[in-house]
Amino acid sequence: MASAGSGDEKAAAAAMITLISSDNEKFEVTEATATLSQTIRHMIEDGCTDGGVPLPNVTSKILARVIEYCKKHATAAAGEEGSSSSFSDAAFLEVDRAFLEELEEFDDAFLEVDRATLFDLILAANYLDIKGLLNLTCQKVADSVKGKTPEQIREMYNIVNDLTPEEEAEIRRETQWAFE
Amino acid sequence: MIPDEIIVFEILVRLPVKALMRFRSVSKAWRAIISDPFFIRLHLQQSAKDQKHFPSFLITPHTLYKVINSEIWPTTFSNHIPFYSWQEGRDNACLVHSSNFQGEFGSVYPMVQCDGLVVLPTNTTVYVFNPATHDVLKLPNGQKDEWSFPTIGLGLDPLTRKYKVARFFCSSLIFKNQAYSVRMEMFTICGDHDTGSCWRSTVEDPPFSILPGAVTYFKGSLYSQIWSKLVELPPQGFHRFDLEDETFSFIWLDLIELGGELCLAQCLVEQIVVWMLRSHDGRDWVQQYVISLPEASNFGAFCVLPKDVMLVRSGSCLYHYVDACQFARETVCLDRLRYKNSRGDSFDFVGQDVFFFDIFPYTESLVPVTKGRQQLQA
Repeated sequence: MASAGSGDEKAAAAAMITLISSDNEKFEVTEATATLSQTIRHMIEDGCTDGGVPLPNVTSKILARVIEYCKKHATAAAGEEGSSSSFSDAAFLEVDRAFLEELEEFDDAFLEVDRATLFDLILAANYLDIKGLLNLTCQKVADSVKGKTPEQIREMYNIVNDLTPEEEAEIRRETQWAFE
Repeated sequence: MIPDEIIVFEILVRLPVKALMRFRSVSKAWRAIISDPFFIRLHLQQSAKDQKHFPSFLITPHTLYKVINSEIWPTTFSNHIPFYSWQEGRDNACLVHSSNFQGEFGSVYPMVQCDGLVVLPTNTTVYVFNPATHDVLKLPNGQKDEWSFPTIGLGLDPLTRKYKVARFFCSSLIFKNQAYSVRMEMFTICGDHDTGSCWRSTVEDPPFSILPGAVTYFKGSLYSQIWSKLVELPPQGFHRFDLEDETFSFIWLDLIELGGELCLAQCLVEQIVVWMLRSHDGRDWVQQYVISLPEASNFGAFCVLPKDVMLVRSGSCLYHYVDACQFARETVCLDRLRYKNSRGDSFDFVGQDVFFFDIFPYTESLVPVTKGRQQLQA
């Protein structure tokens, strides 16, 4: 279903993998895109991808986003390999820099999602073992909570405070500086 | 609302220490994660990764409250120890933590650090800081050091995953006679009841005196230099102290000339690794030869013969080293050679009288060494 983008033309001849979401939607992707996921890479190495890879933990909505991420970053990875031999070539470095900037812009735009979607992406990245995506999404959440108070955290994430008032007071007393 | 314990973990591991200190009071589960040794280790790894991308530095200025000109090393250091963090490219450094020890010491000496911990040696006490958590540990007094400049190392024991402070000291020292007795004692940070409350002497003493002040930690070992002023004929190389089994070894490093190239020979137990200098500025070293022999430390690379055969020397014997079979074939023993006298009719040498042999690769030449010969020629 997913038509190969212009950057994927070279890889078009390569093996295609079918990914099947929890709601039974099929996504056809190149092996280069799919193997950004260590989980899928291992399945391919074990030769158990015939007839598609069922991903019962990932919905079609989330899988579509994950594939979008992988496509972009698989192209980036291929680009890095291609340019490493011509490291001294300033023009290449210029192209690389422009591409890295584009990738950063892509990542920023990719993260413009609601909190529930962000957590679903983290779960999918964790399950599929996609290091870059896990790092990107977790860092986004970390950056959004690091300035918050414990009360704000509990409210944001519906966490019940099960510490006794004494325990809580002790933590505050020991590390008052961290609350300032 | 945060769907999974793993995800809480993945998010917390990416937070700065200050936020984590605060978030210990979110809930029991969060407090448990944040104080878990496995979490602490992964957080350190993540933090080291960030450090690579955005290098930041810890700065402590040591000020004097009074300048006494006659002092070689001041005894009037401020007892206020601040830590500032600074990021490369910034104009400002920000205070992370500071402590005031109110007259507990007079002199401070250069600090050492490992994994965010900092050790401050002073003339009275050794302090351990974690500036990020504001944790300060004052170590108990160790044995008396006869030398005034302390030598401290800090590193991680990879087996127990405990951080250890190593303190080298002289239990006796008479400088002019080169008479000394160098010892070492260890303190385990957060150790158990036996090891965590006092210094304990290492079973082995350091084999040579250690150069004060200079101890480097790398992957489970502390490296230090020999204090060559105290050792007659000091060997060239480094002390290595293994933090896991607390034993010393010596890394021999010899500069030699081989086949017209400057080489550095690293003498290991079963190997001599020879690095050749490729550039005159001393930057570019390549591994040129590896001589694998049982008890390789008894041998020295001596000369490169045609066809890449290496002549190695052990005492008064020379051997051909054949790389392919990692074997040394005895070529000659200098005390068994026969040394003809000038008339060529008898032999000079009586083996037992020789204390040692000098032997060099020899290129005969006309290079004058006296002015007389030069004038004669003119």
